Amino acid sequence: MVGDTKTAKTTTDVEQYAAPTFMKYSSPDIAKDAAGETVLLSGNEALARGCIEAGVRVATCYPGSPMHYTLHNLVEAARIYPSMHVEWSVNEKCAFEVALGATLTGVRAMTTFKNVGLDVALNAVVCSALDFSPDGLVLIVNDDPDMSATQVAEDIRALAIYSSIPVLEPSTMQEAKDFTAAAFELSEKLHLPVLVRAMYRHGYAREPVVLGRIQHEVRERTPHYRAEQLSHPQIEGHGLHSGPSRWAHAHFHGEVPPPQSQLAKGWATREEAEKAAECFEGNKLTISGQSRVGVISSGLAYRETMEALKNLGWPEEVATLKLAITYPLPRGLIERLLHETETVLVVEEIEPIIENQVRSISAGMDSHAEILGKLTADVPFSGELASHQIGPALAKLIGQEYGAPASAERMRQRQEILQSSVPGGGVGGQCPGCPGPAAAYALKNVSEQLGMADDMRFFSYDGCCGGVPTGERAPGLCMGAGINLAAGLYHAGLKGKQVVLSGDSNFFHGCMSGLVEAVYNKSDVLFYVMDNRTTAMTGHQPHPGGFGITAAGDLTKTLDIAEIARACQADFVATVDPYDQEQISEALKQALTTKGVSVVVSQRTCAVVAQRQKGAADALIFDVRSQVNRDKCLSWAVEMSPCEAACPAHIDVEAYVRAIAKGRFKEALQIVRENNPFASVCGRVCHHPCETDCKRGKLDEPLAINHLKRFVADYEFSNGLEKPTPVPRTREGRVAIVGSGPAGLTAAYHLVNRGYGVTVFEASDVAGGMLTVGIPEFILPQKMVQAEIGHIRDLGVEIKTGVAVGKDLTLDSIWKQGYKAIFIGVGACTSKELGVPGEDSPGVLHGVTFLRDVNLGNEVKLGKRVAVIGGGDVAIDAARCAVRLGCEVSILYRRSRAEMPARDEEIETVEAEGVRIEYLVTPAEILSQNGRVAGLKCTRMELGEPDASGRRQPIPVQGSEFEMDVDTVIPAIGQSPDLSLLAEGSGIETTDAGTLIVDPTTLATTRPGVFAGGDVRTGPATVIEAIADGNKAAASIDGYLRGEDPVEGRGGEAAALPVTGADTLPQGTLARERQRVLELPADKRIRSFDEVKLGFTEQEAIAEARRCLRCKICRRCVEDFACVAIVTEDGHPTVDQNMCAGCKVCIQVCPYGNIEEVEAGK
Amino acid sequence: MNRELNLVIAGLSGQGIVMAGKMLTTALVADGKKVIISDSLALTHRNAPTSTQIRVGEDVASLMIGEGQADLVVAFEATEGLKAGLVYARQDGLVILNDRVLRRRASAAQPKAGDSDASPITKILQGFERAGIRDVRVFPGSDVAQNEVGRLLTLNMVMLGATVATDMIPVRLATVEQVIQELSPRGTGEVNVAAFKAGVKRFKEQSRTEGERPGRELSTATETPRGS
Repeated sequence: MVGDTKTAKTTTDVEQYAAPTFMKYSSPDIAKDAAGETVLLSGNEALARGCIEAGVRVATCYPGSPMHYTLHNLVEAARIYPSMHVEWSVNEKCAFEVALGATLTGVRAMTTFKNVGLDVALNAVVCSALDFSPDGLVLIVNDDPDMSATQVAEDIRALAIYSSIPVLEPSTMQEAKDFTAAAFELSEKLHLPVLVRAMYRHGYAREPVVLGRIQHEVRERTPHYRAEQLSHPQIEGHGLHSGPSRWAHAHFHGEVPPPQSQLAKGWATREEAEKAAECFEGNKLTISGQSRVGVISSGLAYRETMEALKNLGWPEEVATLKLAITYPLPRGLIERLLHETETVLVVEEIEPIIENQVRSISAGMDSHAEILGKLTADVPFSGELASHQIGPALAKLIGQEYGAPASAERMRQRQEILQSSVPGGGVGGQCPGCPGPAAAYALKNVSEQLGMADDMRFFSYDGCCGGVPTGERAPGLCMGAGINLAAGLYHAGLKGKQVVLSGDSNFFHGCMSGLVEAVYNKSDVLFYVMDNRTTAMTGHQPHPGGFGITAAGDLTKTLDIAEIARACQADFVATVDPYDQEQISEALKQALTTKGVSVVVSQRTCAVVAQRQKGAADALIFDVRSQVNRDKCLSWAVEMSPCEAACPAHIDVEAYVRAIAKGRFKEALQIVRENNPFASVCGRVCHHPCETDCKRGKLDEPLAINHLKRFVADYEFSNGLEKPTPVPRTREGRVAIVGSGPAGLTAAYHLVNRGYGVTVFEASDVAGGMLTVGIPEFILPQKMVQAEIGHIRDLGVEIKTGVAVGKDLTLDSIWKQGYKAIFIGVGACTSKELGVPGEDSPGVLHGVTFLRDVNLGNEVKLGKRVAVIGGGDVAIDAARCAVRLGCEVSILYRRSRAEMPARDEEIETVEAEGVRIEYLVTPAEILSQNGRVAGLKCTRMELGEPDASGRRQPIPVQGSEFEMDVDTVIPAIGQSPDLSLLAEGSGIETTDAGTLIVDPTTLATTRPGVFAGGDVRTGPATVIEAIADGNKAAASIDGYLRGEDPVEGRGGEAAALPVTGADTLPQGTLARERQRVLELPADKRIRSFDEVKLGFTEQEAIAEARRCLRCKICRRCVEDFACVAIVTEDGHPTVDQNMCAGCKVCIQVCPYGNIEEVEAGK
Repeated sequence: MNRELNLVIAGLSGQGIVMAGKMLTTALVADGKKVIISDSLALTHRNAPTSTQIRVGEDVASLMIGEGQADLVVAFEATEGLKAGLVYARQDGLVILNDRVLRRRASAAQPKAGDSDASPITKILQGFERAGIRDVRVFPGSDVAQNEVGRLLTLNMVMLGATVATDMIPVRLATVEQVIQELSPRGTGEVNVAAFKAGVKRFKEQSRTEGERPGRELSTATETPRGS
């Protein structure tokens, strides 16, 4: 036996590892000869003690909570009794078969694992009972109704019945010990394996137990091979079925005709099993003459029943039957209870196994007792049974009230308080220094860099590494399944390399055949083994790939996972150290780009084991710690990301892009709307200075911020707008807004949100200003504009159209109506004149007027050949409209392309649509004939010195006049505000350029209470600048109405803000192409007014959002790397020095080098 | 009448809750009490919610303490104390909180709108106040372990001292000390007993300063004609 081959332990590592650190639920005293002594035992100890008292010789186990502690106790026993063999098996099937094999020699053997472990061993278990009729074989299996440590709440009794294996169910720890010892006797008597069903809670609970005698003589039996038990009758030929199972099965049910029966000595029979059940000692019927109601229960359910009966004051009418054996049932006791009571309640954990058998017994006898249980919904199926669930059912049967010990209402209140007071989630996760998150981070990082992350699916089944990289648990099914599930995805044709995560113990347990399967059948997977060299989660049991020791602490061989993978001919195999991010990343890059089966073994000893190996239990692995440099860390040091600073409205771009990256589109839109009610509009027409300043632009191309914004708005639009509820009015003053363009409506939006009453006066018949009448449908569909205006209206803003201030109303009359403040946002809608002869001819249409008529569907009289004069947005838009109306169009611009205000993108677009742009040309005279435009006389220009705007001044070239054959001229050389609303003595001063004079910080005009913004302040500018003015004005008006200093604390509103600390590029960031939006092809789009740009799909939006470099709230360390020691302080990352293990992975994770090494204790 | 005592010890994995519970239960058995204990373990070895439930009394059958049924909740970490306290403490139960609050993982610590600026421990106390659980004592367990005993790892023994010092547990101090000596691993018996004593002493002192609490009437169960 093993005892002879015990080797001296040599290395310190192994010694530390093998030291008895499992004292929680195991004890070195477990095997002492102390019959009659009362000791406090956990369920695990009690079960083990039962085995020891029964003289168990061979004990096997695959770790799984909580049953492995039973084996730890038997390891202690084996130290004292060297004939015992105790092992950590590679999996449950191995465990069971080793134990079964041992019993073929006449010694007693036990195997233990949890419920799902029985599933793994099931093939052997099912065959064993009737084929082998083993003697002295006990299975100890725990069920887990609450799924505390398993993925399924299966009821192992069903599998035992299926395998014809008797089931014992202990209730107390005393019974756990006694029934286990009795199970061996029963097994030898019945020639069947016997299953002891413990519950998860048994494992970690303790109770005083009286010890019994240890049957040393049984343990020391001399093994001999008992061939006769296995010599199955073989009857050949003549159509007779030959084979052992048939005879064993028939014999079990008493159906074997002579002469075969004589061959079946030592085989099990059902009759014997039923007889044994009847007289099994632990069954207990308590019944009196007054009993009307019977309760049948077993195991922990019996304890809960007793607790409920205690709370009911031990009612006389209730009889109880406690079942110690639940398969087969003690029929006589059940029949007696059914005879003597009117109602029987069956209380058991998980499935109605007893209940179904009782119903079947009842059906076969003359009983009128009503049977209640799970099938009648009196006892729940799911979850761990508790007295408060049983009590009310019992109380009802005897006509009592079950007084709840604590008021349900109060407990509900407490739950609410709990929800609101405790920071959600957050604890748990991996231990400090765990190599798992380091390995997971590397995979996440590398797959994102390679652009493969989106097409990866994860499968995992392992305690400590489960679900780390994806942030959610990867589907596991059962141990070893992942690699096959992934192969299935691949063979089905799904794109992308599938990733299978495995632990080291799991690898040996169930993955090796899957690895062979994957290689042989040519699957394309990454098999990522997170090898921490121990079965960590269940308590650091050794395994074949660990430190080369067995359960008993003997030295043995260490099997190398990578070598096994190489032997299986995987296409790529590497063993790497997760603490070295460079090494692991390099290996993962190769693994992910190798077609076929890649195996990467991330190997690093579990941090808890490493601590123990270092010495005292509180010693940390390393003497250094990490700390975040708060002066440099982007999260601490950067106030605004470049995009946010560049945006005139300072929208928190990074925040909404982050929300999009996480698929939280509604939240993203909310963030945009904090500073901009026109996400959809801006997402289409904004000149996006944010993109110009985007840091990503230094690396490859800026983020497509504008399209992202458009995407979230479109997402809401296409998923059904939720009509907002009107904001309640909480403020006294009412505010008048003159003009319903972006400036005015933005101001209105914020003011109504702040609780003010707001009325918008719009001279035109439609609201929206230039958004409605100035931007063509193919750039900005009106349904989008009207949806956003509708949103503002729904919040409670009153918009009065067709009311021209200056004509229908005056500013003074607005004051008189009781408004407390006025915002003027009338825009700049009056076209500037060319100042050349012939400008009043029919056939000259001014740009904004033309666009307005086209947008509103008014009749537009265009000829065949159109000349548009100007180089700004209006000119471009007008040209594109004219093209769509079937004209041949030229744009004349007096400077060169470099000076043109239109963006390159716009110029390319308009040229693609067939518009010719004549640079350095200016009109000199509009020629007419028969009262219509008949041509355009032009002058060529050349560029002189820069003017005040910094652009080079165009100078006419002498003698360069030429004529163009056009019949329509659209001047679009700029607009100015229409200030007719300012009556004489309005007190509002204007500039020479015809704009209003306002305070740059507050936008207050020279008249108190009157504010102005947008184009009326700036002259023709962009939508986002108008929105920014609307934001600013709303804040000022609010301050003004509250009587606060309107200037204080307004520094953050300047149009462009300085950015510090955000200019360094993160190390290791690879170029990643910007997502393109689809556009209608030019030949198609010029034939309609359909929107040209089609916008992002959901997938494209997420992919684009993930390109964000996160310049302000980087948070890579806290979000991407799941180290438990990295916590936040006021939302910024910091390393909790009490937790940091000093592994230095976070130092490598920070792409800016802003996490630094410090000495421990500093 | 049979006295019944329900005690919950809560905290985080790695704090020694299971060992403290095992020691106290062993001592109760040694003093002849009928006792059962049931642990709820975390899935990871460090910093995950862990607790144990101890029930003392002739008729206790269930391994679980019902909601709102614990006479005493002792927490080795305050947030876990709030969780355990709100679920298990009787309305008139006593709650002892070690004043340390584990900082939660960053992603979960995003301040919510309307969060007050109160310190974590103040927020936790507010939670108890809202639930109407009045007898909550904040106890500097970690401080005693680290600075008086000199080893933070002895926190569980310090807290065990505080638990026994409530005089609610029907066990003798000497028995507990003896059990600690016997069950302490790897020669830590001396320091563990010292930590236990320090916990008892500090809790008694604190109770004197805060005013002696009135004698605690334990919950009673009806007398029973039959056992379980």
